[in-house]
Amino acid sequence: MNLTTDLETILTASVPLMVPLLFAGLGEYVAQRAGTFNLSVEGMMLGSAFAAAYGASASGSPVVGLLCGMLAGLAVAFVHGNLSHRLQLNTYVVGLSLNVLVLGVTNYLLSTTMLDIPGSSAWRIPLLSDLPIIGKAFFVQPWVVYLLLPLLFVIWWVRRRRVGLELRAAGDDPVAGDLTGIDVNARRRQALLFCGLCSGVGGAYLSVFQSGSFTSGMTAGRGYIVIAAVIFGGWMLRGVIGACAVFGIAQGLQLALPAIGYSVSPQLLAATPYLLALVSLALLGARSKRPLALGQPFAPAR
Amino acid sequence: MGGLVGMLRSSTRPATEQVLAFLTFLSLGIGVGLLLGWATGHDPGVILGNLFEGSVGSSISIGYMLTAAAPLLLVAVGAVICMRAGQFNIGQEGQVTLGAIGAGFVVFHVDASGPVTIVLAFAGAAVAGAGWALLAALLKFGRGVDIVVSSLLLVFLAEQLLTALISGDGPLHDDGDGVLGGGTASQSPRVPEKAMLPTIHILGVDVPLAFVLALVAAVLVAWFLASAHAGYRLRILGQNPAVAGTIGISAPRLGSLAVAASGAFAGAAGAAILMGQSFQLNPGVSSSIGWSGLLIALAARTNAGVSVLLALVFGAMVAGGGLLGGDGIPVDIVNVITAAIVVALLCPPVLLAAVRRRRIRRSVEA
Repeated sequence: MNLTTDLETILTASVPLMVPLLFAGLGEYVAQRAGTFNLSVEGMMLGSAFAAAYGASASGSPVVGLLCGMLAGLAVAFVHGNLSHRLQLNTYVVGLSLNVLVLGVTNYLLSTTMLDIPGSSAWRIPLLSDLPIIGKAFFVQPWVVYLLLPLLFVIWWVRRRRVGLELRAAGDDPVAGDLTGIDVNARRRQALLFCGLCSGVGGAYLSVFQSGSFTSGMTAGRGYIVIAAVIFGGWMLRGVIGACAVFGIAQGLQLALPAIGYSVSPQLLAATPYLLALVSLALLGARSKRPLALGQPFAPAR
Repeated sequence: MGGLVGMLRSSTRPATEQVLAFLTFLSLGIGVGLLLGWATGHDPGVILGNLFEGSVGSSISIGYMLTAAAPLLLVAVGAVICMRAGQFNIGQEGQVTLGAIGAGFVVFHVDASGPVTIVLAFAGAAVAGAGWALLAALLKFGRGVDIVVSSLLLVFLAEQLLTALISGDGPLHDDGDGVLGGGTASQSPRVPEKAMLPTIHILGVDVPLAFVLALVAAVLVAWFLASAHAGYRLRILGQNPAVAGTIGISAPRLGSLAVAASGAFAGAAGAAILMGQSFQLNPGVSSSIGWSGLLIALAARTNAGVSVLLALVFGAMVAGGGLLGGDGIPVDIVNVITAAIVVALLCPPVLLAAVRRRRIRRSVEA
């Protein structure tokens, strides 16, 4: 046993677990910054994992699967956005019931369909994949994983552009935003749709690219971990990325620690993301940079 | 005389409208679920027939329905209290789990007669559930942490806590003298016969004790919120915290109490599940009853009476779903229907508000 191989084992186990968290987490970050406390991210991921599995197995192409997954994420976001920002229903309730609905629908459809998901080989990035410790973990992955880079760049770049500022206004001060001529609810719906797209990629990764199968309720609370990650990350882009990485490693350790000869209670490791989020909230308290209007409905004055 | 009729009409009309809207959207939700069944090649008539047969078709199935409805109603009643007080506790699923844990400690470690064990188990469950909810309340009033966030996070901690307690060397682990898989599997021993909740024979139906308790709780809470002084203060806190502050209602104190009360009810639901349904602690013991109960309270618009109705509908779905397998229809269609009902039931107020707006506009134009 030496440190290099141990670290490599841990990272190789963790990175595939970070990927879905990162995709959905970046989407959830945008949705929350625009003011929607989006609880339906679990449903978005689960729905898209099923749709992607179905699409890939029906067409024989992982690309079609990915597109189907993104469509399913969009569909959940569309329903959520219209119910909570057009009809002004309570967004928490809409989110939770959509999760239940998607779980029911996917379980139901799963029992009536046979899935045969085509395999998708990993891309080995030349040179980088030969690096010690991080090479194998970060640069030998299915091609979807590398979509994270452009996605990150887009979010980072848009933050300080007009659209990004308008989204943040919708989340921080919808009244002022409305007065300056922003259609707050439209912006919130758009952010939610973006979150649906991103969670869709995350869900598709889970079923088509990572495990090659779809099982009942396979997201297993990842959507809620994502929400915890946005909170733990203090509603900041680098914070969210860091939180997803930490939570991915916490999950990866459950697999890697026994392999390298340690035993830690798996429950303790599984509880880590939630504990960290709670503790950080308790320490930060009201000083956290929470979008001020997060979760509050906005009805424009006429 | 005419004035009296007019007064009656104006006071009853919105109620009629609401009932109509409620029923319309209830059937709309069921319709959406049946549509999915039809689209995948199952006869909606057979689905409906099975759901009906399995829930109210015989006295035995009515018993099943009431057993399933009891914990749902307990959770919903608790949720009504804290929502009315303006505290958006959504952690019932975790509080149910803690309740089951609390009841488990009593059932498996306290040696007493049956009735005493049951009472102690309910007490233990209520305390555990209330304590778990109180954590979220403390974080809110002590540190300003959003209660939606903290109660949600606590749900997942509760799951891990339960698994830790019933696996390996956990104090609630089945060491092997129990049922199938004892010793290695993450589960508790079986609840002893004496601690299983009894049923009461009413009108040819074996009504489970848990349902009677839940019904009494619902009536008490409805009365408390409508008529009691403390209930009135609670509602003021929920409707206008600023006013509540100026008339000397302490938000931290009353709010925490309301959250703890809702946790206690959810905990009691956990005891009802352990001693009346599952008879064993396993990782998924709460089986989403916390989420469903919360959704019932919200779809019932935090009305305890309507919650009873909806808990029965949900219970009927669970009980009726059991028959579907015989006809080759996946039981999960039931979850689709219940979720569709919840989403549909959120819509009536929006629709009614739109109708009202149009009526006002018309009367202004006329």
